[in-house]
Amino acid sequence: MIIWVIIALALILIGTITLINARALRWISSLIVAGLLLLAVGAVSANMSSHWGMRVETITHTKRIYSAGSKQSPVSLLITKQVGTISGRYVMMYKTHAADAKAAAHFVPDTDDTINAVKQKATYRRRNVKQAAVTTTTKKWVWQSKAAQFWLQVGDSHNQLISRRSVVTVPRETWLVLTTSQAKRLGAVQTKMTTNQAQTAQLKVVIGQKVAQYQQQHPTASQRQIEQYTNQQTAKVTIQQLKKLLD
Amino acid sequence: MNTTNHYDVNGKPYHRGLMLALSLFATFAAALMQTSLGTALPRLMTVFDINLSTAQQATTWFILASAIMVPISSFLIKKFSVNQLSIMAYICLALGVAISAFTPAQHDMWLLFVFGRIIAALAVGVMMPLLQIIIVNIYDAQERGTAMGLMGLVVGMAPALGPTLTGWILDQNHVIFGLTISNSWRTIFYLPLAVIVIAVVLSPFLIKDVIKKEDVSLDWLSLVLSSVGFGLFLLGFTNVSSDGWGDLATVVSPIMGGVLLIGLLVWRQLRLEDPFLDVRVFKSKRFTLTTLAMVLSTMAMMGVEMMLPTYLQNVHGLSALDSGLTLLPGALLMGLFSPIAGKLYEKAGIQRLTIAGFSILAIGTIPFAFIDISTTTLTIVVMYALRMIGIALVLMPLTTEAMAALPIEKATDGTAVNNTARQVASSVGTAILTSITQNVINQNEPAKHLKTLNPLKYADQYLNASMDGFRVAFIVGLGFAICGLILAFWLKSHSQRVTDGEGAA
Repeated sequence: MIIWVIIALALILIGTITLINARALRWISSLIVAGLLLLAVGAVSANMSSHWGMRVETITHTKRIYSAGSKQSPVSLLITKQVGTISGRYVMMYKTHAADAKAAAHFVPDTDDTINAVKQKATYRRRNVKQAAVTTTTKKWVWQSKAAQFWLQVGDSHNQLISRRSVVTVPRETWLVLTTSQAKRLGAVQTKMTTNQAQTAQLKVVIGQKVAQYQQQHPTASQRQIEQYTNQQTAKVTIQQLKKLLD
Repeated sequence: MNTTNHYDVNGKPYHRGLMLALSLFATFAAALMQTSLGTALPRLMTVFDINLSTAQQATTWFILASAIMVPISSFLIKKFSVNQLSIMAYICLALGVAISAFTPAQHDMWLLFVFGRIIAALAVGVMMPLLQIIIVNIYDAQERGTAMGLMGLVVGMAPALGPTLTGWILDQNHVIFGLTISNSWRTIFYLPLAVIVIAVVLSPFLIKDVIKKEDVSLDWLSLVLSSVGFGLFLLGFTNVSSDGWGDLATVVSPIMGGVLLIGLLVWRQLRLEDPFLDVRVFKSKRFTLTTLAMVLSTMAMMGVEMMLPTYLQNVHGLSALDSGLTLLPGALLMGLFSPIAGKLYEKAGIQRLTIAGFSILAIGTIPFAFIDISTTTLTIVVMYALRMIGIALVLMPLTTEAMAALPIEKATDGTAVNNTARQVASSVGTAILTSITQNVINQNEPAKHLKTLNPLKYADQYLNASMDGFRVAFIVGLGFAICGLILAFWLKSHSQRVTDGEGAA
């Protein structure tokens, strides 16, 4: 609406200055119209510079994510690539659904839309949690009221992004976070591990000992619990081995 | 506008409306040529296998060649009949445009392309003042406003349309009324060429001698001082945006040399009995004030007109065509309001009209001082359009008023001086705003090593530095408009001059 008000006031101002011949009336009417036009333009400027008439809306949502690696692997993978060298912003590869055949890259900055790209940041953390998940907090400008929107909206200013922070949280013990160069070497390292029979045997012994210890401490543990514990320990020991080999 | 019972200097009747229409069409096509290559540079770089700075020669040399011709136009208009000069200029333009249009697309043919541009520019430099002087001579001071308003289409709208039209042509093949308009770069030249060829054919019948020829002899020293002086001066200002104010070889020396030669030119003109370019027209306070106000409006127009596409392309990531389309409504509104401004000038006089125009221009520029990376395109479209309405209200009426300040026999010199001032204002305004923007960006831009350490933070800080630059440039643009508004109160309308006992000059 403000656009129409500005256009109308500008035309009226041209009219009052050029078409009214009575000097006093011309001055008074022109000053009033010019004042109103300044107010209208000031309102647009205030909305542009400090989002006058708008408020910040924050939306947070969390979604489970799945390993970038094979479903059969005891270790879940999150592959990361830092944007720059010290930015703390990461592009990350993971699956959004368990059934996905391939992992996709997430949080890739859109170089064609720099304005929105610079407002977004994604990072990861390792915590003692059971499942991996991504939590996204989005802040955007929304209109304070319907009246403010009616009067001040010019173009597509509703839902304008202020910032988007995404944090991927992965279980410390069962997920392995790799850089892209580590991920490239992973295949070769895994083959080396499986073909090294002495190492595989040693791994089995270590896991076997841990499971036996668990059974002693938890004599009433069900078969399922033992299986879960075995998987967890396999993942943990494998991660330790892989880390040694990849570092 | 009355179109009958008008006689040329030989006592032959002519059709005033048709003569104006033909001159307007031809000059419109010529004015399109000024800016039409801006958006075609990437294509020319590919076609001729040249880099950007080489491609920019097509525009730089055009601006210089046409600017050099403007002061000379005064001598040419006195020396040749209007009919002769029009035909010569149209043929020269057609030839130049044809040379560029038909240049073989090869790397070693680029100089031929630029040569065509220079030939066309020589004609354009004469055609603008020629159109103005035709209007001044075929319309009385009381009815000149509307005709000069139509000239606003040529001076203000055509340069604004040029880049958009080129962007539209190059975007894809278009079919209009069953006729396919190819997206080849050559099409940019074919359309104006067609108009100019028609003008060449019709001008012997429609363009009549409306100004008495004078037996003037050419002062060669003045010609050299004028050409080299203005050439160097404008070349220096053109280089400011790429090389900065401090470059001794490409900016400081040409500007200083230009100023010196222009100073010598003025000194010589004041001593010549029959000057090459009569700068004594500035003795008329009314002419000087209106020319100064016109200079301010031109600087306010050109500076922002050059900065906005850069903002839209660099910050919003718009294509050249889309940025042109964003500014199109403003250009069209300027075209619409230019003749209306002419009518209002005839009705209300210059003071009230310029107060209205500069007020609208200033108020429309305020939001640009708060421009942000998230400013919507629609806001820019509307505010730019508002600015262009303001400019339409002042630009041509101020020129009309400047011409009305001089006796008719001084109109030729007044036109040359007035057009030269507009050319200089346009180059200087653009140089000031682009250099201010670049300086602020340079001061605030993040350290280069951040690009590798944290590229997104670098991009964010660079965007903010760019926005600081654009905002400062637009604030300077606002300053031009406010100065114009203050100056408007010193301009006196005809009725006031009569009351004050001055009378028309």
